[in-house]
Amino acid sequence: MNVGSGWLGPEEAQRLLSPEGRALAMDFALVKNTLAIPDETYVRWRRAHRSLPSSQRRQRVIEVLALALRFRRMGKVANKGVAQLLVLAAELMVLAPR
Amino acid sequence: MSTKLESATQRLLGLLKGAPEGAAASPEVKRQLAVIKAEIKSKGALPPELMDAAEKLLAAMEGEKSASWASTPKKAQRSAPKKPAKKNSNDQAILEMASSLIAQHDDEEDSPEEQEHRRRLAEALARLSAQLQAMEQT
Repeated sequence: MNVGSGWLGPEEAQRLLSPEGRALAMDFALVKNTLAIPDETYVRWRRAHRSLPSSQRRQRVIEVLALALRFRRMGKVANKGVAQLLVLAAELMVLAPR
Repeated sequence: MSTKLESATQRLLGLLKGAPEGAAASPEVKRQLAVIKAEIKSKGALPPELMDAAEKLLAAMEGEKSASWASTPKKAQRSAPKKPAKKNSNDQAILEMASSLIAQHDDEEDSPEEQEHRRRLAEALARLSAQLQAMEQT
Protein backbone atom coordinates (compact mmCIF):
# COMPACT_ATOMS: atom_id res chain seq x y z
CA MET A 1 0.00 0.00 0.00
CA ASN A 2 1.44 3.34 -0.96
CA VAL A 3 0.64 5.88 1.69
CA GLY A 4 2.17 9.28 2.17
CA SER A 5 5.87 9.34 1.64
CA GLY A 6 6.51 5.70 0.84
CA TRP A 7 5.51 2.08 0.71
CA LEU A 8 4.36 0.48 3.90
CA GLY A 9 4.91 -3.13 4.88
CA PRO A 10 1.87 -5.30 5.63
CA GLU A 11 2.30 -4.85 9.38
CA GLU A 12 2.46 -1.08 9.15
CA ALA A 13 -0.41 -0.97 6.70
CA GLN A 14 -2.55 -2.84 9.23
CA ARG A 15 -1.93 -0.10 11.74
CA LEU A 16 -3.61 2.47 9.55
CA LEU A 17 -7.01 3.67 10.59
CA SER A 18 -9.87 2.67 8.36
CA PRO A 19 -11.67 5.52 6.57
CA GLU A 20 -14.43 5.15 9.17
CA GLY A 21 -11.92 5.31 12.03
CA ARG A 22 -10.53 8.50 10.57
CA ALA A 23 -14.01 9.92 10.07
CA LEU A 24 -14.82 9.18 13.71
CA ALA A 25 -11.81 11.21 14.83
CA MET A 26 -12.72 14.04 12.47
CA ASP A 27 -16.20 14.21 14.00
CA PHE A 28 -14.76 15.38 17.31
CA ALA A 29 -15.45 19.00 18.06
CA LEU A 30 -15.01 21.40 20.92
CA VAL A 31 -18.41 22.76 21.83
CA LYS A 32 -19.03 24.72 25.02
CA ASN A 33 -15.71 23.59 26.43
CA THR A 34 -16.55 19.96 25.90
CA LEU A 35 -14.59 17.87 23.48
CA ALA A 36 -16.91 15.25 22.06
CA ILE A 37 -18.78 13.94 19.06
CA PRO A 38 -21.94 16.00 18.51
CA ASP A 39 -24.96 14.12 19.92
CA GLU A 40 -26.72 13.47 16.60
CA THR A 41 -23.52 12.28 14.98
CA TYR A 42 -22.83 10.01 17.93
CA VAL A 43 -26.28 8.42 17.56
CA ARG A 44 -25.56 7.85 13.87
CA TRP A 45 -22.28 6.11 14.74
CA ARG A 46 -24.03 3.82 17.20
CA ARG A 47 -26.62 2.88 14.59
CA ALA A 48 -23.94 2.34 11.96
CA HIS A 49 -21.99 0.08 14.30
CA ARG A 50 -25.02 -2.07 14.97
CA SER A 51 -25.08 -2.98 11.32
CA LEU A 52 -21.33 -3.37 10.94
CA PRO A 53 -20.37 -6.82 9.63
CA SER A 54 -18.91 -8.92 12.42
CA SER A 55 -15.72 -9.42 10.41
CA GLN A 56 -14.98 -5.71 10.75
CA ARG A 57 -15.94 -5.26 14.37
CA ARG A 58 -12.71 -6.31 16.03
CA GLN A 59 -10.60 -3.90 14.01
CA ARG A 60 -13.11 -1.13 14.66
CA VAL A 61 -12.98 -1.80 18.41
CA ILE A 62 -9.21 -1.40 18.33
CA GLU A 63 -9.50 1.86 16.44
CA VAL A 64 -12.17 3.21 18.74
CA LEU A 65 -10.19 2.25 21.84
CA ALA A 66 -7.01 3.80 20.43
CA LEU A 67 -8.92 7.02 19.81
CA ALA A 68 -10.31 6.87 23.34
CA LEU A 69 -6.80 6.48 24.73
CA ARG A 70 -5.62 9.42 22.63
CA PHE A 71 -8.41 11.76 23.69
CA ARG A 72 -8.17 10.58 27.30
CA ARG A 73 -4.74 12.20 27.41
CA MET A 74 -6.42 15.56 26.99
CA GLY A 75 -7.97 15.42 30.43
CA LYS A 76 -11.37 16.34 31.78
CA VAL A 77 -12.36 18.48 28.82
CA ALA A 78 -12.54 15.30 26.71
CA ASN A 79 -14.44 13.19 29.25
CA LYS A 80 -17.66 13.15 27.25
CA GLY A 81 -15.87 12.22 24.05
CA VAL A 82 -13.95 9.44 25.77
CA ALA A 83 -17.18 8.19 27.34
CA GLN A 84 -18.82 8.15 23.89
CA LEU A 85 -15.93 6.16 22.45
CA LEU A 86 -15.98 3.66 25.31
CA VAL A 87 -19.70 3.10 24.75
CA LEU A 88 -19.08 2.60 21.03
CA ALA A 89 -16.32 0.09 21.79
CA ALA A 90 -18.36 -1.74 24.42
CA GLU A 91 -21.30 -1.91 22.05
CA LEU A 92 -19.19 -3.48 19.32
CA MET A 93 -17.94 -6.04 21.85
CA VAL A 94 -21.43 -6.90 23.00
CA LEU A 95 -22.66 -7.24 19.44
CA ALA A 96 -19.78 -9.39 18.27
CA PRO A 97 -20.24 -13.13 18.00
CA ARG A 98 -17.67 -15.58 19.34
CA MET B 1 3.83 36.72 26.38
CA SER B 2 4.33 33.35 24.76
CA THR B 3 1.28 31.29 23.86
CA LYS B 4 2.35 28.60 26.32
CA LEU B 5 2.67 31.03 29.19
CA GLU B 6 -0.58 32.71 28.21
CA SER B 7 -2.37 29.40 28.21
CA ALA B 8 -0.92 28.43 31.59
CA THR B 9 -1.89 31.80 33.05
CA GLN B 10 -5.45 31.44 31.75
CA ARG B 11 -5.68 27.98 33.21
CA LEU B 12 -4.42 29.18 36.57
CA LEU B 13 -6.83 32.12 36.58
CA GLY B 14 -9.65 29.78 35.71
CA LEU B 15 -8.76 27.47 38.55
CA LEU B 16 -8.46 30.35 40.99
CA LYS B 17 -11.91 31.55 39.99
CA GLY B 18 -13.25 28.06 40.46
CA ALA B 19 -14.13 27.75 36.78
CA PRO B 20 -14.17 24.31 35.18
CA GLU B 21 -10.73 23.27 34.01
CA GLY B 22 -11.89 23.08 30.42
CA ALA B 23 -13.16 26.62 30.34
CA ALA B 24 -9.73 28.15 30.62
CA ALA B 25 -8.05 25.51 28.52
CA SER B 26 -10.10 26.02 25.34
CA PRO B 27 -7.41 27.54 23.13
CA GLU B 28 -4.97 24.81 24.11
CA VAL B 29 -7.64 22.12 23.65
CA LYS B 30 -8.49 23.51 20.21
CA ARG B 31 -4.83 23.41 19.31
CA GLN B 32 -4.44 19.83 20.53
CA LEU B 33 -7.56 18.74 18.66
CA ALA B 34 -6.22 20.33 15.50
CA VAL B 35 -2.91 18.50 15.99
CA ILE B 36 -4.66 15.14 16.40
CA LYS B 37 -6.80 15.69 13.32
CA ALA B 38 -3.87 16.88 11.24
CA GLU B 39 -1.83 13.86 12.27
CA ILE B 40 -4.61 11.46 11.36
CA LYS B 41 -5.23 13.25 8.06
CA SER B 42 -1.61 13.22 7.05
CA LYS B 43 -0.54 9.79 8.33
CA GLY B 44 -3.89 8.04 8.37
CA ALA B 45 -2.89 6.52 11.67
CA LEU B 46 -2.56 7.07 15.38
CA PRO B 47 0.77 6.61 17.17
CA PRO B 48 1.64 2.87 17.11
CA GLU B 49 1.87 2.68 20.92
CA LEU B 50 -1.79 3.67 21.14
CA MET B 51 -2.84 0.99 18.68
CA ASP B 52 -0.74 -1.52 20.66
CA ALA B 53 -2.34 -0.42 23.91
CA ALA B 54 -5.80 -0.68 22.36
CA GLU B 55 -5.05 -4.18 21.08
CA LYS B 56 -3.79 -5.24 24.52
CA LEU B 57 -6.89 -3.80 26.11
CA LEU B 58 -9.11 -5.75 23.76
CA ALA B 59 -7.03 -8.91 24.22
CA ALA B 60 -7.40 -8.53 27.99
CA MET B 61 -11.16 -8.23 27.57
CA GLU B 62 -11.22 -11.28 25.34
CA GLY B 63 -9.06 -13.26 27.75
CA GLU B 64 -11.20 -12.24 30.65
CA LYS B 65 -14.47 -13.47 29.26
CA SER B 66 -14.99 -17.19 29.28
CA ALA B 67 -17.49 -17.75 26.49
CA SER B 68 -18.32 -14.71 24.43
CA TRP B 69 -18.52 -10.98 24.67
CA ALA B 70 -22.23 -11.35 25.11
CA SER B 71 -21.85 -13.61 28.12
CA THR B 72 -24.51 -14.10 30.76
CA PRO B 73 -24.39 -11.89 33.84
CA LYS B 74 -23.26 -14.71 36.12
CA LYS B 75 -20.43 -15.61 33.78
CA ALA B 76 -19.48 -11.98 33.50
CA GLN B 77 -19.41 -11.65 37.26
CA ARG B 78 -17.30 -14.78 37.66
CA SER B 79 -14.82 -13.60 35.08
CA ALA B 80 -14.51 -10.08 36.43
CA PRO B 81 -11.09 -9.13 37.80
CA LYS B 82 -10.72 -10.35 41.38
CA LYS B 83 -9.05 -7.21 42.55
CA PRO B 84 -10.42 -4.26 40.61
CA ALA B 85 -7.90 -1.53 40.16
CA LYS B 86 -8.37 1.61 42.18
CA LYS B 87 -10.20 4.08 39.99
CA ASN B 88 -8.95 7.59 39.58
CA SER B 89 -11.63 10.21 39.86
CA ASN B 90 -11.49 11.25 36.21
CA ASP B 91 -11.92 7.72 34.96
CA GLN B 92 -14.78 7.34 37.39
CA ALA B 93 -16.34 10.48 35.91
CA ILE B 94 -15.90 9.05 32.41
CA LEU B 95 -17.53 5.79 33.45
CA GLU B 96 -20.48 7.63 34.98
CA MET B 97 -20.87 9.71 31.83
CA ALA B 98 -20.72 6.59 29.67
CA SER B 99 -23.31 4.91 31.88
CA SER B 100 -25.63 7.87 31.45
CA LEU B 101 -25.14 7.70 27.67
CA ILE B 102 -26.21 4.06 27.76
CA ALA B 103 -29.23 4.90 29.87
CA GLN B 104 -30.45 7.45 27.32
CA HIS B 105 -33.04 5.98 25.00
CA ASP B 106 -36.30 6.73 23.27
CA ASP B 107 -39.45 5.21 24.75
CA GLU B 108 -40.04 3.30 21.54
CA GLU B 109 -36.61 1.71 21.92
CA ASP B 110 -37.43 0.36 25.36
CA SER B 111 -38.27 -3.16 24.29
CA PRO B 112 -37.14 -6.11 26.45
CA GLU B 113 -34.45 -6.79 23.84
CA GLU B 114 -33.19 -3.23 24.12
CA GLN B 115 -33.21 -3.41 27.90
CA GLU B 116 -31.17 -6.60 27.75
CA HIS B 117 -28.79 -4.99 25.27
CA ARG B 118 -28.28 -2.00 27.56
CA ARG B 119 -27.65 -4.28 30.50
CA ARG B 120 -24.97 -6.20 28.61
CA LEU B 121 -23.54 -2.94 27.36
CA ALA B 122 -23.25 -1.61 30.91
CA GLU B 123 -21.46 -4.79 31.97
CA ALA B 124 -19.03 -4.60 29.09
CA LEU B 125 -18.39 -0.96 29.85
CA ALA B 126 -17.63 -1.68 33.50
CA ARG B 127 -15.18 -4.44 32.51
CA LEU B 128 -13.60 -2.19 29.90
CA SER B 129 -13.15 0.57 32.45
CA ALA B 130 -11.60 -1.87 34.94
CA GLN B 131 -9.18 -3.16 32.31
CA LEU B 132 -8.26 0.36 31.33
CA GLN B 133 -7.40 1.12 34.94
CA ALA B 134 -5.48 -2.12 35.34
CA MET B 135 -3.52 -1.43 32.17
CA GLU B 136 -2.63 2.02 33.37
CA GLN B 137 -1.23 0.66 36.63
CA THR B 138 1.02 -1.92 34.96
